[in-house]
Amino acid sequence: MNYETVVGLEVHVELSTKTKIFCSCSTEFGKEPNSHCCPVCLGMPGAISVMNKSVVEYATKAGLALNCEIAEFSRFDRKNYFYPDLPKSYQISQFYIPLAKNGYIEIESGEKTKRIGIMIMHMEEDAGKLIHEEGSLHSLVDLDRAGVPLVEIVSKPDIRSAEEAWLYLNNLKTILQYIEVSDCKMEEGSLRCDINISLRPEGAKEYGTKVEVKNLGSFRAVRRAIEYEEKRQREVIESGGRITQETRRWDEARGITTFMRGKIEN
Amino acid sequence: MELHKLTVYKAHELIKKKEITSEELTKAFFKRIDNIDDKIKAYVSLNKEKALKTSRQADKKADFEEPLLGIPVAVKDNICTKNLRTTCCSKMLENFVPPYDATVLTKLKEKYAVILGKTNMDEFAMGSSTESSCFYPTKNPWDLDRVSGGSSGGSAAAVAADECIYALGSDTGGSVRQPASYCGVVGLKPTYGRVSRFGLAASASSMDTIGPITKDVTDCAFVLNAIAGLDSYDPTSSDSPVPDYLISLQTELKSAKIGIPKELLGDLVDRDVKDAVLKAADFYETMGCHCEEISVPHAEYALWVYYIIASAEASSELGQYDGIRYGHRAEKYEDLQDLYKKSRGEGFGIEVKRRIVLGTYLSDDENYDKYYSKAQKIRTLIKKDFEYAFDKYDFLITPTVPSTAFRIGEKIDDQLKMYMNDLCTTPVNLAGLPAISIPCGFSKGLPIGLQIIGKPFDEATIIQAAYAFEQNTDYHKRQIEWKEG
Amino acid sequence: MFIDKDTVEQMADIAHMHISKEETNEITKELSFLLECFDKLNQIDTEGVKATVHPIIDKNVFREDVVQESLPIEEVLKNAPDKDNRFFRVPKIIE
Repeated sequence: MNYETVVGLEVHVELSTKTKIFCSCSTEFGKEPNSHCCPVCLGMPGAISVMNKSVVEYATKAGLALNCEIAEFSRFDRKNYFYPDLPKSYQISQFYIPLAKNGYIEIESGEKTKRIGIMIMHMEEDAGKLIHEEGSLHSLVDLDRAGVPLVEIVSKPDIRSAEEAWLYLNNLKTILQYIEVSDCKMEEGSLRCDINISLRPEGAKEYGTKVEVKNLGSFRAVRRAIEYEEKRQREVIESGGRITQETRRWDEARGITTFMRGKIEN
Repeated sequence: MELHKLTVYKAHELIKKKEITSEELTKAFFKRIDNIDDKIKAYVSLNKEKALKTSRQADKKADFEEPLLGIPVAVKDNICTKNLRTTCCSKMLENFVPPYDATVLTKLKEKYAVILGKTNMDEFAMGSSTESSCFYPTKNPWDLDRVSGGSSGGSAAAVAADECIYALGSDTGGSVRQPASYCGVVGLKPTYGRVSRFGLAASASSMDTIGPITKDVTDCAFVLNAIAGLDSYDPTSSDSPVPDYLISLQTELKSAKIGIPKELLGDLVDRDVKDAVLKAADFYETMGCHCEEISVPHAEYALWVYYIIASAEASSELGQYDGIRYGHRAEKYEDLQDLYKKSRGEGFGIEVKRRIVLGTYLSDDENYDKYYSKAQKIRTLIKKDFEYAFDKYDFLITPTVPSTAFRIGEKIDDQLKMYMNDLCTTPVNLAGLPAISIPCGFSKGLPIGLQIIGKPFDEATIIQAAYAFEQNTDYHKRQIEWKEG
Repeated sequence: MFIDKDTVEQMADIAHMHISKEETNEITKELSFLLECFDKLNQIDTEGVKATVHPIIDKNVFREDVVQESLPIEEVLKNAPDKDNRFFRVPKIIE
């Protein structure tokens, strides 16, 4: 039985505006911990988020460059949860009416040009950073990154191989760098990628159960992770098992994915 | 001369003429607070050293044209004051010292206003009696067995008891107007967006406002002049131009058309209160105005709409109080999850917990459409009701509260009656309108408040209507009889 | 009862907030009362009515992308319940 690999990519890109999305703190990378904080991004009483004009401009440019339809009316929503890197206890993001949708990136796959669809692109704010030191009883919180503007680009599940994924990411990076909305440096965290991957019998219409893979530090890691997951999932199916919906972690050193957590909540 | 009895207007005149100094004035207030705050409990923090320093700086300033220069003010404890403890009267923030000022404070400090201290309130502004403060309840200066109202009870009591010249409060569902009514002083809730909210600990961010509490309408105009205006730190603040509210201090009303919403003057309103409001209507008629009973049909649902929206918003706003970056953190916990639960469990009082649980429930996917979305739509209908009324009428009058101040501990048992406190004030917050409460009578020695509601950004008209009434009556002049001991 | 104790406990859990047995009882009683009052709102016809999200304002308000000074580290950490050098400190998180 031949199986088809189905991959969707969720890419978070830091926009290279000078200030954060909802306050005037600097977004400069590599500064000392908690040196770019104010009442707003610290989630202090009475602080109010004020929208950075350039974020909307950069995000719109990105949407256009990715051939998306730009919404005439768009809205921010709150995602409420508790975590130390989330100062307000909610992340301001866009769920119902994202800024852009129905775009695509073209890749040269073999001899042909293929379009990888983009489902949506929305704006949101980044969370802070947590540092977990080996052997320590504590974790440390740095909120410099809290409030840095992001766009999240969710592709349609049109990618069929590790090679295609790699091409998609490279083209995405080139486009966004060219229009100067992001420096797309995966090693600095200004571009992050999560994979959603499933297998299905060749010719089947329905999608298989998808697995999410996180902790990818480079385009090469994305490629290797897809190749590994393809192999792992095929082995599970062929030995009579079932793929469960789960989140797995890419282990760069060992070149494998490991179980992280169970079924994703809606 | 009893300096603590001065108004902004009178104190400014005396300072200008160099008959008194701001330092003398400030010292007089700290003496007054020393003498009686044990009985009233209006304050939770005092700012003596810095206040005196500012008063001396004010005395050196040549700019005696500024009416608020050197004038002592009390600030509600949910408005951030830089380097001065700001607790929202919650254990959660018992030791929180903000590294920033609310915009209204920045504006007042530019004028060398003297910050006497922070006043008592219901915890996180949730309540209408100041009984849910983590510290103590504030007593009504007119009757120490009764509440001063809430949530700005401390500010209203401080003004009524001459423990400050004026005060700042916040109003989300009536929290400036209702205590002003109970304490026989003036309280103004501005149009949503008229005064910056930056630095006001959010309670329900689509309704929160900051407003002045003063001894008379003249002072109210002075303070509103100083705090109103666009603020780049508050994107919900309005760029609508700020008129000079002193111009509204005139007694001519030029045959204004006044609406009296019947839904807010029904059976739930005490007899004495109803009579006082109708008497006020008579007064306006003698001034050449025309009063008419009108209907604001959805106003009777406003109370529940308010509680749905306020609780849902509050449960989100209060999530940031988690003991991670500031605020109360439990001493013992097993892990991060336990830290959150214990810190928030210990930090919040029962009323706050109630609202958070309710708000969380209403924001649930299952309930969102049934309650919250529905409430927001009815809110639109309430807004439209008012728009329709303001097509024909210049302002509306209602009681501020259906009754006078109740006894401390009394309302806790009668649930419905407690909520009904907010009957007349909540529709105004839902529609974002300006409203002022002024004394308009007494019932068994307790003050009754008249609420005057205006069109959006038409504080000028309601100030004028309030001033005309005030200048032709003397309810605002009635003195509290202090009992000995 | 319009709401039961289990749901109240569940909501407190979602809100990461410990409530005692007495508080649970009190809150359940109070919320049942309120939810019954809220039920009255179902009588009102809101077909085709748009929700009000902000009472007055209905336009975009933006800020220019200009850096302003952030808080000095002493002010950032001044109220921190636990800190370590330049960081806020929390119990170890295992991801």
